[in-house]
Order: sequence, then C-alpha cells, then structure tokens
Amino acid sequence: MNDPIIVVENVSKIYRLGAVSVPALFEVTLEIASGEMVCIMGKSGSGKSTLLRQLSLIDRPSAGRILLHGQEVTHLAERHRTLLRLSSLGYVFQEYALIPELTAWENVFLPAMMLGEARAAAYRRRAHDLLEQVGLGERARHRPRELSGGEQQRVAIARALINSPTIVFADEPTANLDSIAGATVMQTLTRLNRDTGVTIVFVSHDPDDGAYASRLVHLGDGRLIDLGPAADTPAADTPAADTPAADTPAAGGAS
Amino acid sequence: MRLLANIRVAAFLAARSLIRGNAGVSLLSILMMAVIFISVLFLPSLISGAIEAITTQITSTTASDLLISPGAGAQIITEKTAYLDEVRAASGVAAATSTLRIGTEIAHGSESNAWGVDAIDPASYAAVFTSPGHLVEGTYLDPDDTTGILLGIDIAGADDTTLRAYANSLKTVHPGDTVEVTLAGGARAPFTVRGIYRNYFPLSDAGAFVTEAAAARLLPQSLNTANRVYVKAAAGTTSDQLVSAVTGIRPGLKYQTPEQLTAAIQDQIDTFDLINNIMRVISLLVAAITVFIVTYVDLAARRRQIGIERAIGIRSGAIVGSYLIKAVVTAGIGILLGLAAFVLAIIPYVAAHPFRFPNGPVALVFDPRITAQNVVILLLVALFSALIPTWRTVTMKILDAIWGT
Ligand SMILES: Nc1ncnc2c1ncn2[C@@H]1O[C@H](COP(=O)(O)OP(=O)(O)OP(=O)(O)O)[C@@H](O)[C@H]1O
Ligand SMILES: [Mg+2]
Repeated sequence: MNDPIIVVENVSKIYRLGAVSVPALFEVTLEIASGEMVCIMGKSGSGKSTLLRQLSLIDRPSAGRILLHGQEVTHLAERHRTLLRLSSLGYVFQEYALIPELTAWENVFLPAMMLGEARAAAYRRRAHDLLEQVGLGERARHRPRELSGGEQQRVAIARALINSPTIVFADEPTANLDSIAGATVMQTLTRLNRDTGVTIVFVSHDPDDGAYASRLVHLGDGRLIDLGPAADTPAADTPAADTPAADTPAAGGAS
Repeated sequence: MRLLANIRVAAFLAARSLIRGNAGVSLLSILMMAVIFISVLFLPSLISGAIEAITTQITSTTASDLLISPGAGAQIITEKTAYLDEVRAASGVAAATSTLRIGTEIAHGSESNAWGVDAIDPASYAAVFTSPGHLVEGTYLDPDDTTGILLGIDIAGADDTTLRAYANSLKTVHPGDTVEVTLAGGARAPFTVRGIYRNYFPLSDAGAFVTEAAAARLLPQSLNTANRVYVKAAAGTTSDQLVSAVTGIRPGLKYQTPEQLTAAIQDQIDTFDLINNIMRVISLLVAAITVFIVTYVDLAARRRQIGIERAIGIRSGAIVGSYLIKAVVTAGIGILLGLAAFVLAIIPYVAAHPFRFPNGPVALVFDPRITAQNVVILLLVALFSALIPTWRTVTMKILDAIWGT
C-alpha cells in the first residue's frame, strides 16, 4: 500500500506571458503513496493549483519530472496523456464543471462512453451506483441547473470515479459551497478514499478541510514548506484508512 | 475502436445539445439554411423553366417535333398530299401538316409591313399546332373559307398598345376588318380578318394564315405543293426516331429537330448559367458565414466547458465531431425544410401563377440531379464552416480554455 503512486522530482513551472515570466513552482519534490488523502495547502498564489495541474496532466512542467504509477508522464504524447486522464485519473473542479445539457447520470456516464462500448455497457449500472454513493441516486435524471452547487459537485465526484481511477484530483472543491455543503463534499471524498482506497489529492486553503486529509502538503511561493510534524502529527504518514473518520458522519444525507 | 467511441460520444453530445440546448438558435439556423437552400434552388429551376418554355413554344407553335423542308436548291415539296399521307402512316407519327408561303406583305390603311402569309389545311394544322386554340378574338378558319385570314397578335395589333411589337403592327385591326395581302407574284388581294391568336411567343405571334382553298383560288399553280411539312410525334417518340421513321419516304429533303433549332439560344443559356453560378457562390458564402457565426458563438460560450471535457479525458475528436454533427444536422433539417417548401409550395404556386417571360409563361422546373448536387455542396459548406472554429477551440491549451480569459 505504500509504494509511491505519484513521484514528483524537482518540478518547476514558469508561466510565460509574452516577455513576462511568472515563476509558480520551484523545484518541488514530493512522493504520494497509494491510498493517501493529501491536502495541498498554502496562501493564495502559492502555486497549489499549478502543482495540481502538473500532477493531473492538465499542464506540463517547465523542468523536472513526474511519475504516475512509476511511469514517466511529463514527456508523454498528448493523446497518451488524454487516455491516462480518462482511464486512470479523476478530476473535480472548483465550479460549473458539468455539461449543462446532460442529466446527472449522463454526466457521470460520459467518460465511460469515451472508453468504448465494452466498458460503457458494463458501466451503465456503475454510474447509478456512484450517484447513490454520493447521495444523489434520486437525482439521476436531473440536469445540472436543477441541482444545488454542492449536489453538482458530488455529481462531479461521481463522474471523476466512473472509470475506476487510481487517483482523484480536486482543486478547492468546496470553495464555492457553504460550510454544510462543503462538509458533505469533503465527507464524500473521505469515505470514497477509505472505502475504495483511491488516492485523493486535493487543494484547499480552508484549514478545516485539512482535517479530512491523511497528510498536509504546504506550499509557499512555489516551494514546499516543511512545517515540521507537530501540527499534523496524526496525518503525517498515516494511511488513509486510519484518518479521522470519527468526525466525518456518513455522507450523502445532506440536501 | 477509438474512432467508434469518438463517433458515439460525438453523436450523444450533439443529440443532447440539439434537443436540450438553445431551441431559438437552432430554429433560426434551420430557418436560415432553409432560406439559403431555396435561394440556391430557385434560379436554376427558373432558368430550366425558361429554357423549357422556349422549347415548348417552339414545338407547339412553330416547328412541332420535326420540321421537313425542301432539300438544297429546291423551293417546294411537290405532291404534298401524297407525301403527308405517307408521313402520317409512318410509325410514331401522331399528326402532320404543311404550309405554303403565298404572301409576303400585309397592309391595312396606312400601316403595312413585310410578313409572310402561309396557306394551311385548317384541320391538320390545328392537330399539330396550338395557335388555333389560342384565339384572343374572332374565330378560326373554315376549310372552304377562300377570303378569310387568321392573324397573329403582333401583326393585328388589336389596339393593344401594351404589345412590344405594337409599333410595327397594323395597330388597330380586329376581326371583320379587311387587310391587303401582297401575293408571291406581286398581285394584291383583300382578305377579311376572321380571328386573332396569341401564343405569347414572338416567333409565332407574327404569323398570318389563309386556307389552301384561298391559295388555290388566287395561285392555282400552287395546288398540292408545300414549303414546310411539320410532324408531331406520338407520345414517347423522340424527334430522332421521327427522322428515322420518315426519312425513307422521299429522298432529298431536309430534317430539323427542335433541339437543333434551340441550339441557337445556347449562348443565352450559357449566360444564364454564369449568373446562376455567381448567385450560387453568394448563397453558399452566406451559408458558410451563418454556420461559422452560429458555431463560433456557441463555442465562445462553451470554451471553459470544452476545456473541462478535455481535462477529464474526452478526446478532441469526439468534441469536434459533436459540433460537426450539430452543424450538419441543423443544415440537413434546414435543407429538408427548404426542399419541402420549394417542392410543395413554391413550385405549385408558380405553376398556377407563372412568370410572364418574353417567350411565354415560365414555371419552375425541378431538377433532382442539380438539387442533389446542391444538397451535398451545402452540407459540405456547413461541415467546413463548423470545423474551423471548433478546431481552433480544441487545439488551444486546456489551461487557457478553462482558466484563460
Ligand atoms: N495560466 C497562468 N498564466 C500565468 N500565470 C499564472 C497562471 N496560473 C497561475 N499563474 C500564476 O502562478 C502563481 C501560482 O498560481 P496558482 O493558481 O497555482 O496559485 P494558487 O495557490 O492556486 O492560488 P489560489 O489559492 O488563489 O487559487 C500565481 O502568481 C499566478 O498568478
Ligand atoms: Mg488555485
């Protein structure tokens, strides 16, 4: 369970806007083990989203390399990265990430459809099960505009999980939600991590969210900050199964 | 396998977007394509209609399906009664008649002009040509009428100052009036106008006819001769088949089909075609711009959504495909609508209220081959116009698509 599923070696990212260079990440080195639930924290502009985008293959680093499942992915051709994103990675965005013309079920099912007929046929049922798991079994036929922000976010989580990914990324999934809806989303993620062992890497600058993580990673000005273990002793290197499940009541009941 | 999945996802996204998306925009694009398609169809079918009108006029008023004239050097066809009987007996012949030129000028009061006057057998002439049925005033000729004359409207004038040929006509002539005909030999003879016909065709509306009985009275030597023999084909017989059927009856004669006669207006048809192609290019350009704008605006509003779709692994091919399908389906529905309106409403309406062209009433002619061609071209135009903006959107960086400005 402790083999690193994500390896980050000296990754730097410099955004280039014409003549201007904006350094966002500076030689970040990091390992994340399979089954961990990692929260990336830091001030605004510290490079959290940038790091997540490098890990989730949405962007490419300027230097350094990233390995997912031991495979070097930084220099992979775009279509292979697309296939990896589709089949092995899940992604939950901050807001408005569902296709408005599709029902909740169709949104969840779409990535399975993209994998081909064989996968799709088997996954029709799974899309329903996933909606049940995020507490939206009754809302399968509803369109995004008929769902609350928190419900949409949980549909997005179900969509991220449809192809049985090994890692799910989430960039401030609760930032647009009130604290109750946010808590429901975080509980849903925690429970999935605990029940299925899926690795979860999420970004937050809400210290409360950190409580859901098995490990905190702090970023400051594009660098990893070693805060010392004191603050998060229980989470530091603990596998997901032992996370503070005590203060996470069963997810899905919230409206 | 990948391609199949791309197509399935593309079709799925396109269908959902068409059904659940902005109905107003879809409806407007469909309507726009319908109007464009009608405009693409209209001109060529009008031109076909005009060409068909000319051909019909030539066959039904001036040349019939086969025009037989004396061979080189000869002026007349002799023994024409016997010849006509043999022609009528030939296969594929529905009717035949002949004309003999007996006069060269007609005068009334101070007005006169050089018009040919032909002697006809009223019964067989009416079986071949439509003029006798298109009388606007008076009556047709009786076979034993030796003093009557039938005039075309462009000769009589009939006080119709709206006639294009009015200035050169006899202007005020009506049935009952007497006109002077200058005969082939130079002598003059009075004739009483019995009727005036109008075919709305300049080549035939300047005709003048008397009976063969009148010709026999004035020019006895002309008996049983003709300058022209006209043959009307039975249904299903072509002019070429007619030529083969009658060509052995008497050697040395000259045969002309309506196709050969209309060859003279081919230059006009070519000009029409040029105009038609210019109009078509303009219509297609309008179609291209319409589809481009609709797709472009649609995409601009969905740039972030498309970025997210790509981020979660939906392949660009599927996304591009969905927009192409949307554009082609919208265009296809528009085309069908336009086609239905054209075939079920516009063509019947114009058939009931034909355009008045100089060569006669013109209806719209529907050409399936040209229509099919235009359908394909319009669909291709829609496809490429949608492809350009879609391709631009799916090739931009995901980062810029989702988080860019
Ligand atoms: N696409 C981009 N182009 C140029 N600069 C960028 C881009 N995205 C981020 N940056 C810059 O990189 C730095 C890190 O940004 P990033 O979005 O990773 O921060 P963050 O930690 O996620 O902040 P926040 O908490 O506000 O979301 C910032 O200085 C930002 O301005
Ligand atoms: Mg961020």
